[in-house]
Amino acid sequence: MNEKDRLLEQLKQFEMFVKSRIENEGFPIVQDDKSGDPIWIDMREVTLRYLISVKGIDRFFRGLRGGKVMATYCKVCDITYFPPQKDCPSCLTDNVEWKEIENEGFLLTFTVVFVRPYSFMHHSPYTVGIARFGDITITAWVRGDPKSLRPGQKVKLEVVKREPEGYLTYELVPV
Amino acid sequence: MREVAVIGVGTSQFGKRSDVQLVELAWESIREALKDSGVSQKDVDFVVTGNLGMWSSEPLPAVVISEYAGLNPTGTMKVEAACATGSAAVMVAYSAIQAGLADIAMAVGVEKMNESPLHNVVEFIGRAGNYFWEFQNFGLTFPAYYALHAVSYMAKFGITEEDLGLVAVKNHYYGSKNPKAQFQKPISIEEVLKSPYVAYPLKLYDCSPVTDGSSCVILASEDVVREYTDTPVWIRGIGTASDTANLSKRKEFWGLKAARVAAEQAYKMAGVHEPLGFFDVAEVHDCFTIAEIMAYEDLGFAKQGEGVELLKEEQTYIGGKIPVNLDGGLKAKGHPIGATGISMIAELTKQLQQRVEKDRQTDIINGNALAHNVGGTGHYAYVTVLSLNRR
Ligand SMILES: [Zn+2]
Repeated sequence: MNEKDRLLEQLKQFEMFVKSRIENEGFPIVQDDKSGDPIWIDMREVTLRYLISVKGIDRFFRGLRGGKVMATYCKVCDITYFPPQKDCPSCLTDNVEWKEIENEGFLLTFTVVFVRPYSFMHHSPYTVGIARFGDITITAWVRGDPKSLRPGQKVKLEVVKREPEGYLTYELVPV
Repeated sequence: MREVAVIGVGTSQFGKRSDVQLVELAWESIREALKDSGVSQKDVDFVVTGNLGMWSSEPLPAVVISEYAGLNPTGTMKVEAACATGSAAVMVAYSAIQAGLADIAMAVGVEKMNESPLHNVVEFIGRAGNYFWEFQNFGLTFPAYYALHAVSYMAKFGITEEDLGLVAVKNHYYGSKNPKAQFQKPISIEEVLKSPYVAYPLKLYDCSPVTDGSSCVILASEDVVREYTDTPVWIRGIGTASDTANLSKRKEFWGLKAARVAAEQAYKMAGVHEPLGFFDVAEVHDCFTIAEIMAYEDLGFAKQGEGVELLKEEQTYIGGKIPVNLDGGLKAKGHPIGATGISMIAELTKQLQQRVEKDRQTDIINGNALAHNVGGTGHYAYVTVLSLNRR
């Protein structure tokens, strides 16, 4: 059982407990674990899942499908944008081009996330790094044992599948 | 320019407040500030509410608070600047008075983080960067953003996890002397070092807790100040700045540029040339131990890379060059997001007026104090200069 399954099991048991409180006491009121204060358990539940437009950066996802990580570039201003953006705020135009990222970089910093957010709890602790590639800098997971990492470490970018979700993303790989 | 002063402050008990709802919690500090200032609700011309929300059930905190606290029909709004929300609320209240729209304005900050389970709080606060490019794929958390800074700082300046822990030891020491702090016990460096990792290299005791709390300040124009108090605390400088949402777009990770820019502005406005020797006391944003060390440097208390020396020499304790976070800071007093910045200003007001508990009251010599409040990971920064001396 991973951490998320354990949590879901706990939540299921808690749900049953709340139901029994409603049946026996007439209200979804339970006692706080620590203080014993009466707490009303919210009866209205929502799932947050946003619908995020990616029309302006559609090309980025086509790039990933072809194994490439792409940035946008404004020729007029000589500025590369990563994360890619469809507008150049410097010259107030949207005449940006797409370009492939120079795939030789080095790590600026990293961390290992032990206490994970709810939506990442099914993953083992993961390493997140920030690395510089030419004139841009990229945040991504770092492959391998974090104990051997140090700022300055050479890395490259690789398109990978994020499992178990199964979608394409990119990862930093020490070289 | 119309001068503005703090004429009354209030702060609730910080901690896990399962005994109160959001409005009741807000009322604790509002009531204290009303009594402290002698202002009654009908005298308040404008109310600004600071609250980040998400984890708590009321989506319109300004509205429910104003009703509960008897503040209708006075105008109100909610402001958001992540963890600097409180200072942003004070700035809006200050601006309303300075512009002549109000003579008396209230800024109240409140957060009820424990209305959601911890795993949801970690989720929500982790999203406080660039949601799509940082969180969606890479699951960054709030401690992780500061851990990225800590790894970079440690590699560049050669400090250790034990050095970081000195911040926690100091702030828990002062927290133990503040009856309103979430943590009331001093801790040892050994306890810090053996606590589990949250985001390497930051451990549990390097992190501020999840906190419920509220704080309130009442501000007045120079035209009415004397009707309420003989010891107003003047707001002499405010600086505010921002930095990129994506941390990857920053040039370096051993300081917060927004904090440096905000400090420069506030110092210029208040005529501060050399902060050491000018300020009697400071509150800095120690959401994580590394943050306090970077704050010393961003505020000019120490040269870059030398912040830890101030701790080793106990220069940020009472009796040192610049006592910092004598209420326990975010680390031990707690960090109820929307209330934090206001509680800094409430604490400094009482320090300047020599009204805090005896064993954490510092000597007031120049009558100047500094608040440094950072939102997100240096996404927002607010620096406020307070003084007993009018311009
Ligand atoms: Zn351009």
